[in-house]
Parts: sequence; structure tokens; C-alpha cells
Amino acid sequence: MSALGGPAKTAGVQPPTGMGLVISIVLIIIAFALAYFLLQIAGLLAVVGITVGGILIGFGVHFVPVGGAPAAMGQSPGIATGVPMLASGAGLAGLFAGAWAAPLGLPIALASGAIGGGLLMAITCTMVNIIYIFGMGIPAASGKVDKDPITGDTFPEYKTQGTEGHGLPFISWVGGVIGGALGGLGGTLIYLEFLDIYQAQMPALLSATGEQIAPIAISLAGVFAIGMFLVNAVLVAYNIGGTIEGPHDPKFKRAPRAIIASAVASAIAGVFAIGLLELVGVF
Amino acid sequence: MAMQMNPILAIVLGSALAVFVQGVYATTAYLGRTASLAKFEQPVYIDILKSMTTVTMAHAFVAVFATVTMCHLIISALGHPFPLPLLGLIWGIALGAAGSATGNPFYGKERQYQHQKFGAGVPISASGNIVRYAEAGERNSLDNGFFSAKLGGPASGICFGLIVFFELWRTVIFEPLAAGWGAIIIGVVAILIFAIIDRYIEVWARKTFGPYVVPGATEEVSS
Repeated sequence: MSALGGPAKTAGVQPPTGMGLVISIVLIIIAFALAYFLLQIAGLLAVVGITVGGILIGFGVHFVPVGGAPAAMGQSPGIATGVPMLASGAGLAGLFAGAWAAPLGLPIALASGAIGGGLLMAITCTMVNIIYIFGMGIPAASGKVDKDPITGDTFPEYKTQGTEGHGLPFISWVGGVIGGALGGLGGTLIYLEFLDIYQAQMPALLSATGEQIAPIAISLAGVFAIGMFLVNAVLVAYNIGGTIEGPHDPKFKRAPRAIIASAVASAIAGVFAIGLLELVGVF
Repeated sequence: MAMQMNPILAIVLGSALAVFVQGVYATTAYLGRTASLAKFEQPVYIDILKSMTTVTMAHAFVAVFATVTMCHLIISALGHPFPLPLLGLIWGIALGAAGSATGNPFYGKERQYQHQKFGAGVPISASGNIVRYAEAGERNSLDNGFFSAKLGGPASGICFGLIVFFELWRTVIFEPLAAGWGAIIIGVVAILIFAIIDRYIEVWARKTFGPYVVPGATEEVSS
């Protein structure tokens, strides 16, 4: 326990504290009330959608197997890069695909965003395994579990002594794809909510037609969606604390805390993003 | 494009600007790291500053030019709604994710230069136990870059190329099918194919390399 009296640092479960829960709920209610005050029911629905998108991103990042520098040296399992880098890469590829499919309707845009993120992670994880196996000669071995929950492969006999495991087991591959898909889904949902709000608000505000406003609305929505993505990815990176192996890692049980934090951050940032136009109108 | 300039010329000018940013980053990263960790008494190699910085800058020009050209083509030829800077940000971060994920491991544990057995990880106690293979008996960043470029660079490029290809191909060709769901079905099929490839090479590695064995007496002699 730290000198400031924070929660005890344990490797696995770190549940949210009571005080944190209360403050989070109050902040979310304030954000929702502000949204209703600014744009009535449309604003409230948009902020709820943005919050759900943020939760999806925050939860999805926990699935992505990130090993950091030790993974690059063959000393721990996972993908050898940082949490925000990989998670935002996958989510933004999803956003790219989702925004492209946006004119085809909400379900197709959301599915396309999810597949876009999942596809990036599928290709990246496969190439990482190719490099691990053919370039470095490292077979997959998890350090956190003895048996792959999906394929049933056993790991202890393959694990090199003096490492925390190495390579990218199949469960981590599946986790990466799920994480990328959830990130792409959340990012696309946030983008579509912003786009709806901006397309409804801007023509009256700038006294122009909807077609003239479309490029600005799309750019603004895209910029804010990327911003929301980075907020959530970095937030969750702190919760994970460097490395995670995927859904089988004990650290995965920390997810509830990150989900609450993502919800609060998304709701507040979302209110500021949709309230921006109101401010422009006031001045 | 806002200045009514030829897009190719504009991309070249933008890449030329990015080259100087990369040069500043490369110089400050190298000098800053050595200076801030002065307690390790690492020397600053003027060789690296003189030869490596320019190579890094040239490489940045190629990378930025290729990425921005691709983003420009995605907008002008394929009609993506996002403006160029936003697309550049998206694909730049995706390129960073793919390149960092694929390229880093090869840089960290290169088989030819490690004392460790092929078919196993690197114990933490053996971290940095790399054969000094260069001419004068010591290797600097120039040699590291050289051997990383052999497999890590092309593999990162293939990874990013596959991502861009599959994202665009499934959308451009299959989006008209099944009222838009065609692109999603093809995406799921592609993910499943990559799952099969990944599982196949994972099983291949387990069979070929076999379980971990503690290094025997013969290897200890050779190291």
C-alpha cells in the first residue's frame, strides 16, 4: 500500500474503489445532463453512444496481447510494441473502414469498422508469429497459463528457463483480433455519433447547405473520433501497466476499473466535443 | 491542394519538410540518450551522427512520400470521405503499429548474432549476450540497422502492405454485393484464413523446434 493510502497493488484483480465509483457516476450524470441541456434528446443520445463507444474501446484494448520491449528480445509473450500504439492502430484502421461504409447505414458501418480493426490485428499477429518462428526461432509459450484455453497446447515444457514465456500463442492471436474488432466498433460508433450531431447542427450555424457542410463535418467528426480513441487507449494502457498477454492473463480481470474510467472520460470529452459548436454559436 | 498545386509536387514538398523533422529527431534521440545516461560513460560516435542521420533522413523521405501518396490515391481514386491529413494520421499510426510489432522482434533477437539456441527464447540473464561480429570487434548502431534491415524491414513492409491491400480490396470489390455485407463477409473469411495460417505455423514451430532443453556442455564451451 502506498503512502497515499491507495488500493493495494496486486497482480490480478484490482477492483474499483467505492469513492471512485461514486465520483464516476456523478461525473457521468453531470455529463449526460449537460448534453441534454445543450442539444436536448439528440445530444443525450449522442453522448450515450459516445460513452458506449468509449467503453467498447477500453474493454477491447485489454484483449490485445502487448509484450513491449521484453517481447522484442524473446523474453515475454505478446506483440513487441506499446499498448496505445497497437490499440490505436487497430482502432483507426477500423475507423477508416467504418467511415467509408457510413453512407450504407449504421449496421454495415459498425460491422465494417469492427472487421477493419480485426483484420489489421489478424494480419499483424500472423506476421508477428512468422517473424518469431522463422526469423528468431521462438515457438509460442505463455508464461501465465499452462494450457492454451482454445487449442489445448501445453506450454511449460516449451518455455525457456529464465523467461516469462515467449512468442504469440493462439489464444493471444484470438484476443488480438477480438480487441481490434471491439476497438474498431467503438471508434466507428463514436465517429457516427459525432457526424450525426455535426451534420444536424452546422448548416444552421454556418448558414450553409448540408452538402457544403459535409467535408467539414466529416473532418471534425474524424478528428474528434481519433482524439477519443487516443484518450481511451492511453487510459487503459495505465490500467494494464505495460504488458498483457490477452484474455487469459490475470491482469484481464482489472478490466472493470478501466471500463468505468473509459465511460467517464468518454462522456466528459464527448460533451465538450458536441458542445463546441454551441460555444461557436454563442460567440 | 488548397494552393492549387500539383498534388505530386505538394507531396514531394511535404516529404522534404518531414525529412528535416526526422533529422532533428534522429540527432536529439541519439545525443539525448547518450547524454542523459552519462553515468554509463558511453561515447558519442561522430560516425553515427555523420553517416546514420542522413540515411535516416533519406529513409524518412521514402516512407513519408509512399504513405502520403497512398493516402492521396485512396481519396482521389477510391473516394474515401476523410481529408488527406486525417488519412495520413490514420495510416501513419497503422503503419507504426504494424512496423513496430513486426520489425521490433527481429531487431531484439537476431538469430545469427545471438549465442542462444535457435528454437527457444532468450533468458533474461542472457539479455544483450550478442556476438560481436563486426570488423573491429564491436558493433555500433550502423551494424544493428544493417542486420535488422535484412528480414525485419521487408517483413514489416509485407505486413503493412497486406493490411492496406485487404482493407481496400474487400471494400472496393465486394461492397456492392449483398447490399454492403459482401465486404464484411470477405473480411471475416480473410480473418479466418489468417487464423489457419497462424495456427499452422505455430504447430509447425512446436514440432520442428521441440520442447526446450537446457543448453548442454558443448554449447557452454562454444560460448
